[in-house]
Amino acid sequence: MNTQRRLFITVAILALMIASVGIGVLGETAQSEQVRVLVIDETHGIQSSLQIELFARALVGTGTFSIHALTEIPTEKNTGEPYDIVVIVPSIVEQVWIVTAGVPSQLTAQLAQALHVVESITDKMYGGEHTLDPRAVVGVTDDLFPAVYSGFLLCNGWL
Amino acid sequence: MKNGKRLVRTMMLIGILTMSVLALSVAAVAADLTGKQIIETVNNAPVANDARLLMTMTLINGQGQSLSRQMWSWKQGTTKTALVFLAPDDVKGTAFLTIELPDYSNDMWLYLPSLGLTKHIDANSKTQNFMGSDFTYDDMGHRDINDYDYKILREETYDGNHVYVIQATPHDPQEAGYSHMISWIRDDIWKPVKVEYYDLSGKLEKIQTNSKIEKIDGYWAITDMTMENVQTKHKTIVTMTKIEVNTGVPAEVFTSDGLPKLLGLVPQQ
Repeated sequence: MNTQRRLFITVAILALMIASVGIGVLGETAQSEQVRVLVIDETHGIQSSLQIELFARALVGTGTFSIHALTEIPTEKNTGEPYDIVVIVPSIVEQVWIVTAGVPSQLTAQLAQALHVVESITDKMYGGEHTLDPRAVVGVTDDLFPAVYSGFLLCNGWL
Repeated sequence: MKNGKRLVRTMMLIGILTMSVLALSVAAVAADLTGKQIIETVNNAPVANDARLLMTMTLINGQGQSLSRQMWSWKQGTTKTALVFLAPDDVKGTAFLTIELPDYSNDMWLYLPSLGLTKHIDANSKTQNFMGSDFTYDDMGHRDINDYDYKILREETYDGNHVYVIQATPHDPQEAGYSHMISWIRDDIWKPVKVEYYDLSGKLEKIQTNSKIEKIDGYWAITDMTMENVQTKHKTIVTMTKIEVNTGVPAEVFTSDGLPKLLGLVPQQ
Protein backbone atom coordinates (compact mmCIF):
# COMPACT_ATOMS: atom_id res chain seq x y z
CA MET A 1 0.00 0.00 0.00
CA ASN A 2 1.59 3.33 -0.99
CA THR A 3 2.03 6.24 1.42
CA GLN A 4 -0.70 8.38 -0.16
CA ARG A 5 -3.28 5.62 0.15
CA ARG A 6 -2.26 4.94 3.73
CA LEU A 7 -2.58 8.64 4.58
CA PHE A 8 -6.01 8.77 2.95
CA ILE A 9 -7.25 5.80 4.99
CA THR A 10 -5.86 7.26 8.24
CA VAL A 11 -7.54 10.62 7.62
CA ALA A 12 -10.84 8.86 6.77
CA ILE A 13 -10.72 6.84 10.01
CA LEU A 14 -9.93 9.95 12.03
CA ALA A 15 -12.81 11.84 10.36
CA LEU A 16 -15.21 9.00 11.15
CA MET A 17 -14.10 8.96 14.81
CA ILE A 18 -14.54 12.71 15.16
CA ALA A 19 -17.98 12.52 13.49
CA SER A 20 -19.17 9.74 15.81
CA VAL A 21 -18.09 11.69 18.88
CA GLY A 22 -19.94 14.71 17.52
CA ILE A 23 -23.12 12.70 16.98
CA GLY A 24 -22.81 11.31 20.49
CA VAL A 25 -22.51 14.79 21.96
CA LEU A 26 -25.48 15.98 19.91
CA GLY A 27 -27.50 13.01 21.14
CA GLU A 28 -26.67 13.74 24.75
CA THR A 29 -27.58 17.36 24.25
CA ALA A 30 -30.94 16.40 22.81
CA GLN A 31 -31.57 14.15 25.82
CA SER A 32 -30.42 16.76 28.32
CA GLU A 33 -32.87 19.22 26.76
CA GLN A 34 -35.73 17.10 28.04
CA VAL A 35 -37.48 18.81 30.93
CA ARG A 36 -36.96 16.86 34.15
CA VAL A 37 -40.18 16.34 36.07
CA LEU A 38 -40.44 14.80 39.51
CA VAL A 39 -43.87 13.32 40.29
CA ILE A 40 -44.58 12.89 44.00
CA ASP A 41 -47.50 10.50 44.46
CA GLU A 42 -48.71 10.74 48.04
CA THR A 43 -51.99 8.97 47.33
CA HIS A 44 -52.87 5.50 48.56
CA GLY A 45 -55.96 4.67 46.53
CA ILE A 46 -56.22 2.63 43.35
CA GLN A 47 -58.13 5.20 41.31
CA SER A 48 -55.79 8.04 42.27
CA SER A 49 -52.71 5.92 41.55
CA LEU A 50 -54.02 4.81 38.16
CA GLN A 51 -54.81 8.40 37.29
CA ILE A 52 -51.19 9.38 38.02
CA GLU A 53 -50.01 6.62 35.68
CA LEU A 54 -52.25 7.95 32.92
CA PHE A 55 -50.98 11.46 33.60
CA ALA A 56 -47.33 10.33 33.52
CA ARG A 57 -47.89 8.52 30.21
CA ALA A 58 -49.40 11.64 28.70
CA LEU A 59 -46.33 13.65 29.74
CA VAL A 60 -43.87 11.04 28.47
CA GLY A 61 -45.84 10.77 25.25
CA THR A 62 -44.99 14.37 24.32
CA GLY A 63 -41.29 13.43 24.12
CA THR A 64 -40.46 16.61 26.03
CA PHE A 65 -40.30 15.27 29.57
CA SER A 66 -38.33 12.71 31.53
CA ILE A 67 -40.19 11.49 34.59
CA HIS A 68 -39.00 10.32 37.98
CA ALA A 69 -41.26 9.44 40.89
CA LEU A 70 -41.36 9.33 44.66
CA THR A 71 -44.14 8.34 47.01
CA GLU A 72 -43.59 11.11 49.55
CA ILE A 73 -42.18 14.62 49.66
CA PRO A 74 -38.46 14.24 50.40
CA THR A 75 -37.19 15.82 53.59
CA GLU A 76 -33.50 15.14 52.95
CA LYS A 77 -31.23 17.07 50.60
CA ASN A 78 -31.09 15.91 46.98
CA THR A 79 -27.76 14.38 46.03
CA GLY A 80 -28.58 14.18 42.33
CA GLU A 81 -29.53 16.62 39.60
CA PRO A 82 -32.35 19.04 40.46
CA TYR A 83 -35.66 18.91 38.65
CA ASP A 84 -37.25 21.56 36.49
CA ILE A 85 -40.82 20.94 37.62
CA VAL A 86 -42.23 19.01 40.56
CA VAL A 87 -45.82 17.71 40.42
CA ILE A 88 -47.26 16.73 43.78
CA VAL A 89 -50.47 14.71 44.06
CA PRO A 90 -51.28 15.02 47.75
CA SER A 91 -53.38 12.68 49.83
CA ILE A 92 -54.83 15.41 52.05
CA VAL A 93 -56.64 17.53 49.46
CA GLU A 94 -58.20 17.07 46.02
CA GLN A 95 -55.62 19.15 44.19
CA VAL A 96 -52.54 18.67 42.07
CA TRP A 97 -49.72 21.04 42.99
CA ILE A 98 -47.38 22.13 40.20
CA VAL A 99 -44.23 23.46 41.79
CA THR A 100 -41.43 25.42 40.14
CA ALA A 101 -38.41 27.31 41.45
CA GLY A 102 -40.11 30.68 41.45
CA VAL A 103 -43.19 32.16 39.84
CA PRO A 104 -43.77 31.59 36.09
CA SER A 105 -42.60 35.08 35.15
CA GLN A 106 -39.18 34.30 36.64
CA LEU A 107 -38.67 31.14 34.56
CA THR A 108 -36.73 30.86 31.32
CA ALA A 109 -38.82 30.93 28.15
CA GLN A 110 -38.22 27.19 27.57
CA LEU A 111 -39.22 26.27 31.12
CA ALA A 112 -42.26 28.56 31.02
CA GLN A 113 -43.40 26.82 27.87
CA ALA A 114 -42.83 23.38 29.43
CA LEU A 115 -44.75 24.48 32.51
CA HIS A 116 -47.65 25.53 30.31
CA VAL A 117 -47.66 22.08 28.70
CA VAL A 118 -47.59 20.35 32.10
CA GLU A 119 -50.45 22.51 33.35
CA SER A 120 -52.51 21.80 30.23
CA ILE A 121 -51.99 18.06 30.45
CA THR A 122 -52.70 18.05 34.18
CA ASP A 123 -55.90 20.04 33.64
CA LYS A 124 -57.01 17.64 30.91
CA MET A 125 -56.21 14.49 32.88
CA TYR A 126 -57.66 15.59 36.19
CA GLY A 127 -60.51 17.77 35.02
CA GLY A 128 -61.74 15.71 32.10
CA GLU A 129 -64.95 13.70 31.93
CA HIS A 130 -63.24 10.30 32.18
CA THR A 131 -60.88 11.13 35.00
CA LEU A 132 -60.65 8.47 37.68
CA ASP A 133 -59.66 11.06 40.30
CA PRO A 134 -61.00 14.60 39.76
CA ARG A 135 -58.73 17.33 41.17
CA ALA A 136 -58.10 21.04 40.80
CA VAL A 137 -54.71 22.03 39.41
CA VAL A 138 -52.89 24.77 41.33
CA GLY A 139 -49.48 26.40 40.91
CA VAL A 140 -47.15 28.47 43.07
CA THR A 141 -49.19 31.64 42.52
CA ASP A 142 -52.53 29.98 43.15
CA ASP A 143 -52.22 28.38 46.54
CA LEU A 144 -50.09 28.38 49.69
CA PHE A 145 -49.00 24.73 49.55
CA PRO A 146 -47.26 24.88 46.15
CA ALA A 147 -45.62 28.16 47.12
CA VAL A 148 -44.28 26.76 50.40
CA TYR A 149 -43.03 23.57 48.74
CA SER A 150 -41.34 25.64 46.04
CA GLY A 151 -39.10 27.22 48.69
CA PHE A 152 -38.62 23.98 50.58
CA LEU A 153 -37.64 21.90 47.55
CA LEU A 154 -35.41 24.68 46.20
CA CYS A 155 -33.53 24.87 49.51
CA ASN A 156 -32.94 21.10 49.46
CA GLY A 157 -31.76 20.95 45.87
CA TRP A 158 -34.77 19.18 44.42
CA LEU A 159 -35.64 22.18 42.25
CA MET B 1 -101.06 -68.91 49.23
CA LYS B 2 -103.06 -66.55 51.46
CA ASN B 3 -99.97 -66.15 53.67
CA GLY B 4 -97.93 -65.46 50.53
CA LYS B 5 -100.28 -62.67 49.37
CA ARG B 6 -100.33 -61.23 52.88
CA LEU B 7 -96.53 -61.22 52.89
CA VAL B 8 -96.37 -59.42 49.53
CA ARG B 9 -98.89 -56.82 50.70
CA THR B 10 -96.90 -56.29 53.91
CA MET B 11 -93.66 -55.92 51.97
CA MET B 12 -95.28 -53.39 49.65
CA LEU B 13 -96.64 -51.43 52.59
CA ILE B 14 -93.22 -51.39 54.23
CA GLY B 15 -91.70 -50.23 50.96
CA ILE B 16 -94.22 -47.42 50.54
CA LEU B 17 -93.77 -46.31 54.13
CA THR B 18 -89.96 -46.35 53.77
CA MET B 19 -90.10 -44.29 50.58
CA SER B 20 -92.43 -41.79 52.25
CA VAL B 21 -90.15 -41.39 55.23
CA LEU B 22 -87.16 -40.93 52.94
CA ALA B 23 -89.00 -38.32 50.85
CA LEU B 24 -90.03 -36.43 53.96
CA SER B 25 -86.44 -36.50 55.23
CA VAL B 26 -85.12 -34.96 52.03
CA ALA B 27 -87.80 -32.31 52.12
CA ALA B 28 -86.98 -31.61 55.75
CA VAL B 29 -83.26 -31.17 54.94
CA ALA B 30 -84.02 -28.79 52.07
CA ALA B 31 -86.52 -26.90 54.14
CA ASP B 32 -83.92 -26.55 56.93
CA LEU B 33 -81.34 -24.93 54.64
CA THR B 34 -80.87 -21.36 55.82
CA GLY B 35 -79.87 -18.36 53.75
CA LYS B 36 -76.43 -18.38 55.34
CA GLN B 37 -75.99 -22.07 54.55
CA ILE B 38 -76.86 -21.42 50.93
CA ILE B 39 -74.24 -18.67 50.73
CA GLU B 40 -71.73 -20.94 52.48
CA THR B 41 -72.42 -23.60 49.88
CA VAL B 42 -71.76 -21.05 47.14
CA ASN B 43 -68.51 -19.93 48.80
CA ASN B 44 -67.36 -23.51 49.39
CA ALA B 45 -68.02 -24.71 45.83
CA PRO B 46 -64.95 -26.52 44.44
CA VAL B 47 -62.40 -24.24 42.79
CA ALA B 48 -59.29 -25.02 40.80
CA ASN B 49 -55.86 -24.72 42.47
CA ASP B 50 -55.01 -22.05 39.93
CA ALA B 51 -56.33 -20.49 36.75
CA ARG B 52 -55.27 -18.05 34.08
CA LEU B 53 -57.51 -16.22 31.66
CA LEU B 54 -57.98 -13.37 29.25
CA MET B 55 -60.52 -10.78 30.36
CA THR B 56 -62.14 -8.03 28.34
CA MET B 57 -63.93 -5.26 30.18
CA THR B 58 -66.16 -2.89 28.22
CA LEU B 59 -67.48 0.27 29.83
CA ILE B 60 -70.59 1.83 28.29
CA ASN B 61 -71.86 5.21 29.42
CA GLY B 62 -75.38 6.56 29.31
CA GLN B 63 -74.82 7.98 25.83
CA GLY B 64 -73.81 4.60 24.45
CA GLN B 65 -70.11 5.46 24.17
CA SER B 66 -67.86 2.54 25.01
CA LEU B 67 -64.30 1.95 26.13
CA SER B 68 -62.68 -1.49 26.24
CA ARG B 69 -59.81 -2.73 28.35
CA GLN B 70 -58.14 -6.09 27.97
CA MET B 71 -56.21 -7.80 30.74
CA TRP B 72 -54.57 -11.10 31.50
CA SER B 73 -55.34 -12.54 34.92
CA TRP B 74 -53.88 -15.27 37.11
CA LYS B 75 -55.68 -16.73 40.13
CA GLN B 76 -54.60 -18.99 42.94
CA GLY B 77 -57.61 -20.58 44.60
CA THR B 78 -60.00 -17.85 45.65
CA THR B 79 -57.54 -15.74 47.62
CA LYS B 80 -54.92 -14.46 45.17
CA THR B 81 -55.43 -12.56 41.92
CA ALA B 82 -52.84 -10.88 39.74
CA LEU B 83 -53.65 -9.08 36.54
CA VAL B 84 -51.84 -7.01 33.95
CA PHE B 85 -53.41 -4.71 31.39
CA LEU B 86 -52.75 -5.56 27.74
CA ALA B 87 -54.77 -2.81 26.04
CA PRO B 88 -55.36 0.01 25.38
CA ASP B 89 -51.90 1.56 25.27
CA ASP B 90 -52.60 4.12 27.98
CA VAL B 91 -52.85 1.35 30.60
CA LYS B 92 -50.70 -1.40 29.04
CA GLY B 93 -48.30 -2.92 31.54
CA THR B 94 -50.11 -1.58 34.61
CA ALA B 95 -50.41 -4.49 37.00
CA PHE B 96 -52.44 -5.25 40.08
CA LEU B 97 -52.15 -7.83 42.85
CA THR B 98 -54.72 -8.62 45.50
CA ILE B 99 -54.28 -11.16 48.27
CA GLU B 100 -57.21 -11.97 50.51
CA LEU B 101 -56.12 -12.35 54.11
CA PRO B 102 -57.73 -14.78 56.59
CA ASP B 103 -59.90 -11.99 58.03
CA TYR B 104 -61.25 -11.28 54.49
CA SER B 105 -59.40 -7.96 54.28
CA ASN B 106 -57.27 -7.48 51.17
CA ASP B 107 -53.59 -6.74 50.67
CA MET B 108 -53.41 -4.82 47.38
CA TRP B 109 -50.46 -3.70 45.28
CA LEU B 110 -50.33 -1.68 42.09
CA TYR B 111 -47.47 -1.37 39.59
CA LEU B 112 -47.27 1.88 37.59
CA PRO B 113 -44.84 1.34 34.68
CA SER B 114 -44.38 4.98 33.62
CA LEU B 115 -43.32 5.91 37.13
CA GLY B 116 -41.46 2.67 37.83
CA LEU B 117 -43.38 2.48 41.10
CA THR B 118 -44.93 -0.48 42.92
CA LYS B 119 -47.35 0.87 45.50
CA HIS B 120 -49.11 -0.70 48.44
CA ILE B 121 -52.74 0.33 48.18
CA ASP B 122 -55.04 1.37 51.00
CA ALA B 123 -57.41 -1.48 51.88
CA ASN B 124 -60.26 1.02 52.09
CA SER B 125 -60.08 1.21 48.32
CA LYS B 126 -62.14 -1.96 48.11
CA THR B 127 -65.38 0.04 47.83
CA GLN B 128 -63.97 2.11 44.96
CA ASN B 129 -64.85 1.20 41.40
CA PHE B 130 -62.36 -0.95 39.52
CA MET B 131 -60.80 1.04 36.66
CA GLY B 132 -63.84 3.24 36.18
CA SER B 133 -66.12 0.22 35.85
CA ASP B 134 -69.36 -0.42 37.71
CA PHE B 135 -67.72 -3.20 39.78
CA THR B 136 -66.13 -2.27 43.07
CA TYR B 137 -63.09 -4.24 44.19
CA ASP B 138 -65.36 -5.80 46.81
CA ASP B 139 -67.88 -6.82 44.15
CA MET B 140 -65.09 -8.71 42.39
CA GLY B 141 -63.79 -10.45 45.49
CA HIS B 142 -65.18 -12.24 48.52
CA ARG B 143 -67.07 -10.77 51.40
CA ASP B 144 -66.84 -12.12 54.94
CA ILE B 145 -69.97 -14.21 55.28
CA ASN B 146 -70.17 -13.35 58.97
CA ASP B 147 -70.53 -9.64 58.22
CA TYR B 148 -74.06 -10.15 56.88
CA ASP B 149 -77.47 -11.45 57.93
CA TYR B 150 -79.20 -13.67 55.37
CA LYS B 151 -82.85 -14.36 54.62
CA ILE B 152 -84.42 -16.62 52.00
CA LEU B 153 -87.01 -14.43 50.33
CA ARG B 154 -88.43 -17.09 48.04
CA GLU B 155 -87.69 -19.83 45.53
CA GLU B 156 -88.46 -19.34 41.88
CA THR B 157 -87.50 -20.33 38.37
CA TYR B 158 -85.00 -18.07 36.63
CA ASP B 159 -84.04 -18.77 33.01
CA GLY B 160 -85.42 -22.28 33.39
CA ASN B 161 -83.42 -23.06 36.55
CA HIS B 162 -84.56 -23.38 40.15
CA VAL B 163 -83.06 -20.60 42.26
CA TYR B 164 -83.08 -19.43 45.85
CA VAL B 165 -83.58 -15.69 46.21
CA ILE B 166 -81.49 -14.57 49.20
CA GLN B 167 -81.30 -11.16 50.84
CA ALA B 168 -77.97 -10.25 52.47
CA THR B 169 -77.98 -7.31 54.88
CA PRO B 170 -74.58 -6.03 56.09
CA HIS B 171 -74.03 -5.38 59.78
CA ASP B 172 -72.16 -2.20 58.72
CA PRO B 173 -73.79 -0.79 55.57
CA GLN B 174 -71.35 2.17 55.44
CA GLU B 175 -68.40 -0.20 55.34
CA ALA B 176 -70.09 -2.49 52.82
CA GLY B 177 -71.22 0.37 50.61
CA TYR B 178 -74.73 -1.07 50.28
CA SER B 179 -77.87 -1.24 52.44
CA HIS B 180 -78.48 -4.79 51.22
CA MET B 181 -78.09 -7.17 48.27
CA ILE B 182 -80.46 -9.72 46.79
CA SER B 183 -78.97 -12.75 45.02
CA TRP B 184 -80.54 -15.36 42.78
CA ILE B 185 -78.63 -18.61 43.41
CA ARG B 186 -78.95 -21.70 41.21
CA ASP B 187 -79.09 -24.70 43.49
CA ASP B 188 -77.83 -27.18 40.87
CA ILE B 189 -74.43 -25.54 40.45
CA TRP B 190 -74.44 -23.14 43.44
CA LYS B 191 -73.62 -20.06 41.45
CA PRO B 192 -75.40 -16.69 41.51
CA VAL B 193 -77.09 -15.80 38.23
CA LYS B 194 -78.23 -12.35 39.27
CA VAL B 195 -77.45 -9.93 42.11
CA GLU B 196 -79.18 -6.66 42.93
CA TYR B 197 -77.27 -4.05 44.93
CA TYR B 198 -79.17 -1.43 46.92
CA ASP B 199 -77.59 1.87 47.92
CA LEU B 200 -77.39 3.21 51.44
CA SER B 201 -80.82 4.85 51.09
CA GLY B 202 -82.33 1.51 50.08
CA LYS B 203 -82.80 2.32 46.39
CA LEU B 204 -81.78 -0.14 43.69
CA GLU B 205 -78.34 0.96 42.47
CA LYS B 206 -76.85 -1.87 40.40
CA ILE B 207 -77.88 -5.14 38.80
CA GLN B 208 -75.28 -7.83 38.09
CA THR B 209 -76.30 -10.47 35.56
CA ASN B 210 -74.10 -13.53 35.12
CA SER B 211 -75.27 -14.48 31.66
CA LYS B 212 -72.85 -17.31 30.93
CA ILE B 213 -71.68 -19.97 33.37
CA GLU B 214 -69.52 -22.73 31.90
CA LYS B 215 -67.96 -25.91 33.21
CA ILE B 216 -64.23 -25.80 32.55
CA ASP B 217 -62.27 -28.92 33.36
CA GLY B 218 -64.84 -29.82 36.01
CA TYR B 219 -65.18 -26.38 37.59
CA TRP B 220 -68.12 -24.02 37.12
CA ALA B 221 -66.97 -20.54 36.10
CA ILE B 222 -68.88 -17.35 35.35
CA THR B 223 -67.53 -16.29 31.95
CA ASP B 224 -69.87 -13.48 30.97
CA MET B 225 -71.20 -10.90 33.39
CA THR B 226 -72.78 -7.47 33.17
CA MET B 227 -73.02 -4.88 35.90
CA GLU B 228 -75.51 -2.13 35.19
CA ASN B 229 -75.84 0.97 37.34
CA VAL B 230 -79.52 1.79 36.97
CA GLN B 231 -79.04 5.22 38.54
CA THR B 232 -76.24 6.48 36.25
CA LYS B 233 -77.22 4.31 33.24
CA HIS B 234 -73.59 3.20 33.03
CA LYS B 235 -72.87 -0.44 32.25
CA THR B 236 -69.83 -2.74 32.39
CA ILE B 237 -69.58 -6.00 30.46
CA VAL B 238 -66.89 -8.50 31.45
CA THR B 239 -66.07 -11.45 29.24
CA MET B 240 -63.55 -14.14 30.14
CA THR B 241 -61.94 -16.32 27.51
CA LYS B 242 -58.91 -18.58 27.08
CA ILE B 243 -59.52 -19.96 30.56
CA GLU B 244 -57.03 -22.62 31.66
CA VAL B 245 -57.07 -24.25 35.08
CA ASN B 246 -54.46 -26.07 37.11
CA THR B 247 -51.58 -25.16 34.80
CA GLY B 248 -49.19 -24.44 37.69
CA VAL B 249 -48.93 -20.65 37.95
CA PRO B 250 -45.46 -19.56 39.19
CA ALA B 251 -45.49 -18.29 42.76
CA GLU B 252 -43.69 -15.05 41.79
CA VAL B 253 -46.83 -13.95 39.95
CA PHE B 254 -48.48 -13.37 43.32
CA THR B 255 -45.73 -11.19 44.82
CA SER B 256 -45.34 -7.42 44.71
CA ASP B 257 -41.82 -7.88 43.31
CA GLY B 258 -43.29 -9.89 40.45
CA LEU B 259 -45.67 -7.17 39.28
CA PRO B 260 -43.19 -5.39 36.95
CA LYS B 261 -42.55 -8.72 35.19
CA LEU B 262 -46.17 -9.74 34.59
CA LEU B 263 -46.42 -8.35 31.08
CA GLY B 264 -43.56 -10.61 30.08
CA LEU B 265 -45.33 -13.66 31.56
CA VAL B 266 -48.49 -13.34 29.46
CA PRO B 267 -48.79 -16.44 27.26
CA GLN B 268 -48.51 -16.00 23.51
CA GLN B 269 -51.94 -15.55 21.96
